[in-house]
Amino acid sequence: MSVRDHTAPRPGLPIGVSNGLVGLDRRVLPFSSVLAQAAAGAMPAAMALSTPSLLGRIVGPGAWLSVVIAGAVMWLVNLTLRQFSTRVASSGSLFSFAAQGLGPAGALAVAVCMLCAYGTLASYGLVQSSEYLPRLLDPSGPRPSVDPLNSVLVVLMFAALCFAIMARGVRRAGRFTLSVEAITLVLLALLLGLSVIERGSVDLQALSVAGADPGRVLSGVMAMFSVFFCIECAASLSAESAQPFKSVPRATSIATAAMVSLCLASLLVAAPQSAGDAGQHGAEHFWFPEAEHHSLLAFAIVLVRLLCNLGSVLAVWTCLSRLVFTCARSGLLPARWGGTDPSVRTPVAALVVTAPFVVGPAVVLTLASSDVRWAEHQVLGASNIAFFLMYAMTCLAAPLFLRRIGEDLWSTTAIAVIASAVTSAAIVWTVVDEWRGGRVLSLATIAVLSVVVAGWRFAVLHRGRFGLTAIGTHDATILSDVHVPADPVTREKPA
Amino acid sequence: MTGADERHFRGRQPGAVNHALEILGAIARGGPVVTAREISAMLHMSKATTYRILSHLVQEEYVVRSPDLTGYLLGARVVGFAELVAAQSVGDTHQEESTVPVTSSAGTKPPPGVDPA
Repeated sequence: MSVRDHTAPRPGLPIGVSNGLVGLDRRVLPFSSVLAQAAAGAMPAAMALSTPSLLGRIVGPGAWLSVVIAGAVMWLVNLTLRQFSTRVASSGSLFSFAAQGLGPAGALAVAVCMLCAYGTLASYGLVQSSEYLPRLLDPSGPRPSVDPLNSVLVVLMFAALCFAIMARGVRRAGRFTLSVEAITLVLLALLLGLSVIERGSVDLQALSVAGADPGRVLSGVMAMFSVFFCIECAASLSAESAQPFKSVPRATSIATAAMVSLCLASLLVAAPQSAGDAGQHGAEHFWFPEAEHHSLLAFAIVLVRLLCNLGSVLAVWTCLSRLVFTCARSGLLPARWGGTDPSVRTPVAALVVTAPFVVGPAVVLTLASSDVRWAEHQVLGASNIAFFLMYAMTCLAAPLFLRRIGEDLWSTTAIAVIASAVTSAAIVWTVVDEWRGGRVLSLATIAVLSVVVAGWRFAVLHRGRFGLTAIGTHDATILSDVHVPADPVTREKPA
Repeated sequence: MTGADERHFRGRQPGAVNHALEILGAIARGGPVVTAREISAMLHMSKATTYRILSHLVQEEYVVRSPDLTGYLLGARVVGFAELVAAQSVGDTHQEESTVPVTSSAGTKPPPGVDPA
């Protein structure tokens, strides 16, 4: 018997030479690219620049409490998602996780929430990019008035750029995203450093609780949740990651910790009490009220925001395409949407299918201009609810999944239940807030999504459309991954 | 390994390494697929410790999960070691005839982290 024969598969084992995600560029992405994907989804540099003015308006004194409380909750969500990402490698991210614990109905609901949340975020990123590009020419001047048609051209240009990068394969896209995130974080470090030098010292009063109003702190927590959304972005690259069970949970944890740390650092550097200036004079005056060279600093700030939005579109669109790919491979969508390009091993069909959902709303919002910009905020409200829903359901799925595979512990169950309860409470808070604010479009969006879930479920589960195979198809172990011991009875020693 | 040797090993090495090796042995002996609970019961190890070490072994690809996610099998990195050991045995029998390194003579690739020299 040869050396190979000792590692031959045992007949009858349910392990194939490939799995349901065959066609993807399996196990190739280095940790740096996975981390870049996680960071790009959460946009740490842009969010750190925005947090002081945002919390200054909403919270005032004690703003740091909002960051810490929201960060703690998101850490619980991260710990719960970790229970999945250390066990399941799948391109479907939370959809595949929910499928493991909640079954088809829950998985479908999470998939629809993801489509809504990621689609909105990618569209919003394109709109923001189209706004920041012309501002690079005169960054410290007033916001330029751009013809909506020109803005649409910029949106289309950015969309085409992102599509081209993603269609060239996950490795190239990963390297590009890594470069973008590295540039933004270096620029952020420079900006924060310069700001500290200009102010002369860090304002430790920002860490005081004097004058903090609990109600406003809670409002700040809700605002910070939306800042921390998308920390799970790296999970979409599980199947393509070189070491998915190591890289993905680590990248998600680092992204979450980095978001909280950078937001706290920016609060320390920029005293939130001066937030009122931001709206009147622009971001560069907020960060550098005494600087003489505002245009250069303003250029850096606008560039950070532009690049962060571009990176976010890349990351979120990648998530969206991998979700559609996984749904198609599971039999929830037409099978041809799960096709991959054999040369670059990327789900190009899913990229094409998702393009209208990313570009369409962005074009509509850009053409609508500022007169109906309220629609943008309402759609973002719906996106927030969708994010909370998918987190709450996935956290609920975790203990059920662990119980199913016989690996449940009271500690992991407790963390998952707390995370699910808090995110569910956030849903209630957001819905009430939207209702009180008269933002009925977001609530209507959620109602439409519920109908979509019901219709999809009916079509797939009852009518058997698309040929349902296995909801939540994941990158299951294949023969090349394993060593199966030979039958002890027939085992022979090497000659 | 005798009881005395085992105590000596436990006394000088971190417990987690010893647990990890015991778990690898349990998976190798336990048949094609072993569940975490079976490993925990087999080794009289707490469930939390078993899951934590299994998770680490999966991350490092010494162990993989079965496709239905309920059990564990030895992974590709262990296969690399196994092939090296098997090839070493083959090489030993021809030691006087050949001085070519066993990795080359067996035509096998060394596992990640193992210096072929």
